[in-house]
Amino acid sequence: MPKNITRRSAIKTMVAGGAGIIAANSILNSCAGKPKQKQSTYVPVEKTSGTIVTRDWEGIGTVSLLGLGCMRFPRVKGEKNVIDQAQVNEMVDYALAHGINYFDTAPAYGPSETATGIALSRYPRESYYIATKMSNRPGDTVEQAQAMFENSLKCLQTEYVDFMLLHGTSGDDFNARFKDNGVLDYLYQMKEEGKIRHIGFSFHGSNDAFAGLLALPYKWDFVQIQMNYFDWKDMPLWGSEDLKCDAETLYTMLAERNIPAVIMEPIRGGALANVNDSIRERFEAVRPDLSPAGMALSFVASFPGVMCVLSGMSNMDQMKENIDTFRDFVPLTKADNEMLFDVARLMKENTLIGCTGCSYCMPCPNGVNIPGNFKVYDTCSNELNLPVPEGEHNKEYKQKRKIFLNRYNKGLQDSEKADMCVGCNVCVSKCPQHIRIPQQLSRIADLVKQLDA
Amino acid sequence: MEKIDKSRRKFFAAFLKAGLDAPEHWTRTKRQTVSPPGSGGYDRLRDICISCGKCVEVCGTGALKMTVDGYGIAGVMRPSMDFGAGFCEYECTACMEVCPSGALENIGLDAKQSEQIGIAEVELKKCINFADASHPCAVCKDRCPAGAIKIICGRPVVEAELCIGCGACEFFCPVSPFKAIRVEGNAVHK
Repeated sequence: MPKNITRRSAIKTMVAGGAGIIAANSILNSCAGKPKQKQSTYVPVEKTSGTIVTRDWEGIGTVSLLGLGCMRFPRVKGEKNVIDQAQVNEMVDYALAHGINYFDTAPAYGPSETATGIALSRYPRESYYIATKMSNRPGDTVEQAQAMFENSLKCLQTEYVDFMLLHGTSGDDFNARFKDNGVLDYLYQMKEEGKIRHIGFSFHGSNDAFAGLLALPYKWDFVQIQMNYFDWKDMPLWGSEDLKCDAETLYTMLAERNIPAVIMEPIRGGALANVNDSIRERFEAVRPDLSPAGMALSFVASFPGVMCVLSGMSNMDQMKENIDTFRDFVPLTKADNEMLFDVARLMKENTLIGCTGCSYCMPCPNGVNIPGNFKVYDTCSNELNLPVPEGEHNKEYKQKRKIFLNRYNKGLQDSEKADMCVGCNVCVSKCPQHIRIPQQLSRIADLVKQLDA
Repeated sequence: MEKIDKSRRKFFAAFLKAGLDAPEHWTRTKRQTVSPPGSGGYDRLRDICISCGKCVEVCGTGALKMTVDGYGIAGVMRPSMDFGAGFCEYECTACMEVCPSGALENIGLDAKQSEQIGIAEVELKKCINFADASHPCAVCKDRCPAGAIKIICGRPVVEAELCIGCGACEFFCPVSPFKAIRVEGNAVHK
């Protein structure tokens, strides 16, 4: 080092050093800035570590009260049919680490079986249960069913499945899909061969049809039903108004027969997670520790005959929130339940179409975005924001009208709107919620016409 | 040993330190200009506007300002929204009514309330709710005339279909001087 520091050399050193520091600083800033933007908005408060509640079942084993529904797995951005495998692996790791051992998938869920298989095959087969389904169509032969089942085993990378469900039967299609063509006999044969451990069915239909199925001379090891506080007293069956269906009757029938119930749609496709503010306040008054989704999950899990509550989780935040609900699980009281039924009544007064956004109805031959249209309507009505054109055209109405029209006109392309429906009825049979899709679409189109006038 | 005068070194050091501590907004990308309602977008405004300034005069909240560089060199002195000074009143169409050139086309109140001139973006790091959850703030939600902002898990979330970019949230946001919610303009109105 030269001892004589001239002014020139000092300034040179300083400028070079300074430029270096500024460059390093900006690089550091830009590096640190990017991942921060990706952070999700909801930061759940970590509760004490520990696994979730389990229940023991005779002939089945220990099943976690919360099961991972694999239908709504996260997709790669911009791709509807490509699952984000890295995120799925992370979710499955987290689920197994926290005691979830029930994984529910189906051939009808697109790439879900493959993704589930990849994620689960990294763990010993005894540490989890796989549930998959027979998603055949009416009139399919037993060979087609066989191919579907063998493909399921291949996708899931396993020798056997623990739970096999007849996928979404309404009772009416039972003979055509499972009995007459011998598919059910084939499944029972597979059970004897050890490739299937337990056989059950998932149900979307009326009370009477359910009783009929339970009376059949088959041994149902478990049954999957739709149950939540919204559907408890009356489950809307749009296909047929003279038929009655409610989760209370379905659950009671199973409890009387000691058949374990697996619960699907406990949050109604997320609809019960996004409640409006007034309802949220009522929830917080009784159970401040639970989110609206946690409230809905706790409702079904409080029934002793429930084996597993399936929740389709599409990201880590939802999973962490769900697991927190089931960690220090405190069942709801009778008074809590009464409050929930009152909330359900309020929600029904703001007539919901009841679409869960499963997209089984798609693709529409005329290009109508059916779930998109229903989402606009249901979101508005969930927020109690549904405009009534017949009523007074006051300030409140004007705001509601604007909100509905902006969502409808900006969220949907012109070709996807409700008025493009020609009523071909192709979608009707595909809807597991039995929504009368063409009638509901024309209702929306009428509403828009009245609002525009 | 000769005594060294360190004042100059101290000056340079302070200069460097100021550079290092440069506020974050210096490095952020420049915000998008918000063009007034009825203008359709940057290109249309640049082509048709005659820079008469009548809209700026008539704007009741003072949100409309002439901008020098907001639209590039070809767009000097065209009107743009300054949400630091005001916001676009939901029920007002004054600027469109007064425009002599047709650059701000009078599209009517109903269409104006649907036209998205920009979209509000939340910067959570600055938001009061993010810094201190014990003092929940919902000013942006309460001021939004379009019902586009919801407070979810204590954080404001903007619904893109409903936001029209009126800037009420930005104007009333109590975080100052750099707002936690800002409107980024649309080059073409939606």
